[in-house]
Amino acid sequence: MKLGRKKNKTVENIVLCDGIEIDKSFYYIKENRLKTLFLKGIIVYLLTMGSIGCYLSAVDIDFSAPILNMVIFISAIGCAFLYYNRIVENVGYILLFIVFFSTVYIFMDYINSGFYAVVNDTIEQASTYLDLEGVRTYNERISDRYLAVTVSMCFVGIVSNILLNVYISRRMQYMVAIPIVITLNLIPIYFELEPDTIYTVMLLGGLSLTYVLKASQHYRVRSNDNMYLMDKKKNVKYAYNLKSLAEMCLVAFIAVFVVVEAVAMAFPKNSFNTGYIRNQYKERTMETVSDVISLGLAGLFDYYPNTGGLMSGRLGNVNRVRLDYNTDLTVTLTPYSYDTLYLKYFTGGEYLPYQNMWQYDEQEDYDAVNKEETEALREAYEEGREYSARGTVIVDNVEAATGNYFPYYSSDTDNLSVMGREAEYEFYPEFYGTDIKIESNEDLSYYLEVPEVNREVIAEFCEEAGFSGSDSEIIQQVVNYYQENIPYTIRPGATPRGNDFINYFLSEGRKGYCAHFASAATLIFRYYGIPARYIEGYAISYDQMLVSGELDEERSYDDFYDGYSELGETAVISVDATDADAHAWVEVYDEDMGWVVVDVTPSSGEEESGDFWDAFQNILDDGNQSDDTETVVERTSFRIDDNILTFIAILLLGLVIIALIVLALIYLIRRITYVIRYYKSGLNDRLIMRYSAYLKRMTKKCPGLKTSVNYRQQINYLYENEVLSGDDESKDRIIDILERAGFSNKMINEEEFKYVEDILK
Amino acid sequence: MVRKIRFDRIIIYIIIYIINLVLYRFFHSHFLFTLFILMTVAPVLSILLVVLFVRKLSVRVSVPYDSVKKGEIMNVQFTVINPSVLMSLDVGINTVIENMFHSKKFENMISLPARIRGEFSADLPLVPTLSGILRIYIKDIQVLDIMGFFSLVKKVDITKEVIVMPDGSVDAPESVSDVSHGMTESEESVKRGNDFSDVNDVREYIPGDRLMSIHWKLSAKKDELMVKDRVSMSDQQLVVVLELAGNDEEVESCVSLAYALAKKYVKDRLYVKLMWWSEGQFEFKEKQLISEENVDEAFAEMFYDKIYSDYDKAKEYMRSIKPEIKAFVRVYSEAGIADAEVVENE
Repeated sequence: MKLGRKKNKTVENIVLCDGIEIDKSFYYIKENRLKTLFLKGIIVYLLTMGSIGCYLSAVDIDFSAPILNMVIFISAIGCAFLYYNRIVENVGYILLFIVFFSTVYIFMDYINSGFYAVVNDTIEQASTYLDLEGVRTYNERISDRYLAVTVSMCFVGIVSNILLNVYISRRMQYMVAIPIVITLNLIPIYFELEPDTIYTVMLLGGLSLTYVLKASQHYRVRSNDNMYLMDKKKNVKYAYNLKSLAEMCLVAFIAVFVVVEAVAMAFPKNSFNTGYIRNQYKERTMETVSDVISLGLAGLFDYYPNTGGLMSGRLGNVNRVRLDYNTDLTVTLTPYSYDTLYLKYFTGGEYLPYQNMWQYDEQEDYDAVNKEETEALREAYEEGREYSARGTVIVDNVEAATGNYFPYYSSDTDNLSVMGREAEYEFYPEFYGTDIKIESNEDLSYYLEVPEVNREVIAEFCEEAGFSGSDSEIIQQVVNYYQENIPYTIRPGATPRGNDFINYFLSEGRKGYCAHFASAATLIFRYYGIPARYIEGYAISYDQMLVSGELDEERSYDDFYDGYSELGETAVISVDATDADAHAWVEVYDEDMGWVVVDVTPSSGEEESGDFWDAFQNILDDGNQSDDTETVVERTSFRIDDNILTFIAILLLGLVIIALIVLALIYLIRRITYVIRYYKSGLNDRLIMRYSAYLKRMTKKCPGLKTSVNYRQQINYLYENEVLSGDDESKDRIIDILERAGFSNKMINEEEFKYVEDILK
Repeated sequence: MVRKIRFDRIIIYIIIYIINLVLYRFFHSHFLFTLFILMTVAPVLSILLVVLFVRKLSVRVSVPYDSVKKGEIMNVQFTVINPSVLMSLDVGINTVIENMFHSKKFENMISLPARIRGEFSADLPLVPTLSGILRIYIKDIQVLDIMGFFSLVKKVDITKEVIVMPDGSVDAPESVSDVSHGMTESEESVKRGNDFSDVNDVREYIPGDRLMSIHWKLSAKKDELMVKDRVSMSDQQLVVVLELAGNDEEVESCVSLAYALAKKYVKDRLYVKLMWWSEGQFEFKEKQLISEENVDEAFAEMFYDKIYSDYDKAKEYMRSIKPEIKAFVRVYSEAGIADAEVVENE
């Protein structure tokens, strides 16, 4: 209880009406708000743990429940205690954020990986429910999923605690708490995944307590610890009372527990959906949800995205490549080389600047693509020359556009591949060392055209890059320059309206995906007089054949391949090509070999940052993807490096020291302020200050003193409990002096001051 | 009886209820179904429980003293008594605090929790700043249900009265402190212990008459005992007539002054009588003051009357129905200042 003189001066009796007042001591009856805050901390804990537990248990993700409970409980109570007073609130939040972000930094990989694990499991459950195939997942860097998920959820819990604490501990805003704790849980609920009962009890219990306390009208944390407060109509209300609040919380929680258990018994979760037929509204949303699962939020919008498939030379306006990972083609072949298998689809001849597209190559005879090269290779094969061979490829068009998808130097290029049907191509692979020389009368000037608007930009770019030398040297320099200086990204950003695609890429954007690199390289090669053309198609790497190729035992190797093979005799396999395999490259004309493939696109890797905050970014879009199979990188087991341990120790020690210094400073400032105030005050004020300090000490020893609300009652209490001793006369004198010092304008004298001071000592 | 319905809260609850119902229909989730059942059961339980709860709930008001001095703190304890296993976080005690003498009244609500099978007390430190009868009256209690939808009202009728005496800080004025000033000769003789009071009549002796009253000379002449019938002793007493007229401050100062005078006269062992005009009963009321306790009793009785609503009329009545005494000390207020003067009736 504070009976500071200062407050007595500012707070007058409350006048109810003429002749009836309430004594100001009523203001000073205190209730320890820490107890109430503790209770509110428990409510926040129930909400956070209930919410996280509901999600994890619904999606069936393993985590360490004791550790997660402990961390969330401690942080919830700690957050609630921040409202102890203004100083603790301000300093506490700063310290909390320092500690929080430091630990986030330290455990970034675990948080990141755990978060991805949760997302991956959710996607997996969604895929099962929606019957999706080939949905991409995120890279989990930590092999110990159990630990990563626990660590990650601890931090999610702390964030939730901080957020909820703002709305619950001070104002019990259940209308804010509901969306915070319920919204994310609608995701597993959509996929008919139900949380464990214990977490349901916790979540609904927490919400019920929040509601009940709000409804009771006695929940606010105020700027002081006064037990009672008075409204404008001078109605008296109690502000804090832990015991009643605790009893109410207990009653409400038990009621929720009983109801939840009763429902669980009467309507068991396992059989709840038996015989249930999805409603039509949900059915209608499922396609969109499938798109969102596959494409990210972009699946909600129908705008011009490059979905990763082939774009037939249309460039620009593509903010990012969005892959659906659905199978476009199934290719049946025998692997014969370590090189990538390119299935050619589109040939771009003329580039149309500002329209940002490649014109269909009208010079190419689509009934006989690369006719001279094919003829030369077939001749070599038929003559039985070294490094010659003949192969067969069957392309099953699963979901790709109708067109030709054939490997290099096929003889059946007029064989159209229609969706849902197979097309078979015979081809003659070209190996390093193949001895062929073609003779062509083709007019190559068409493949040397560089639009004027591009020429200047290309010239600047080439000058800056310093390309020079023979054709092959320039080609290699371009490839190297791209690799070293221009990053690959599937999120290059759309070409700004009114800009040319290639100019923008070379001068400003300077990042992109295969179409950017291939388009620009085509014009660069032409600039140097190397005939070149832009090609789109599918590229299936040897690694991909190994990893995802399925052995076709019913087919014979001999029926599919004959001749030289870098790999020796292999087998017939079927491999799926998705839109992730769609690609763009360049064909340059070699005087001896004819049109040969030059793949200028640098290898990706820059996108695999695995950053924690990227994960949040990726929630909103398709983010950091791996292939259509989960890739668990065995980076580390749970072993923290000694340096990190030292860093943690120093960090924690530093934080403790900072906290101690701050607390010491607070104490020191208070003490100095007190001393200054004391010596500036008159005798009356000094006595009251001394008495207040004495009373504060005594209240700790004699809790019953709290019920005494004025000087008379306090002194009487102290005498009755033999804290002070003396006769009635001395007691009355003390009371008299205190009352005069506290309430009267008359100054007490030195002797009276000394008298009371000596007794209080 | 339902006193207050919180429509805003009910509407918000209904909105949440409908949203949950729609979500449940859409998702067909066991979790949302549980929430739906909970949200259906909760208001029903809340209503049932508060109806049962109110029946057993009671309140108590305790005041540690029968009377206090004006300006002293008086702790009025309000206690909510709940013998049941149910509870409410908001029991409003509808309280009227009234100074009957000054006709001042304040009505407020004291909100306390009702704990499970327990009591919860709050000490309200009232400070009466006007003398009179302070009456604390609880009209009813309003119990808020758990969901906060409405308050049920239970009638109670608890009254506590505390007499607020003047604080005694006013000194009796010198002008009337010495009774000899302005008193009749006979009144002075009373003070001296002699009886020189006026003879009203002479009559035949009746057994029981005091010997001192026998008119010896006349008895000798008439040869029968004759006694002097004197003016009543009561008429010779010191009378303080208090005028309860004016505004609160004026009356308060008059009361304080009269209280101080009465205390002083009693202390001086004088026979004093307090008189005041009762506007309600349309008569002068009087009270004999022999001891200091009598003084407090007399003032307490006076405090059950009210200060005059119409000062002029009261004055008129007092003038026309003046006390049948020869002289009295009039305590009155003029221009906001209380004063006392000796008045002799003609």
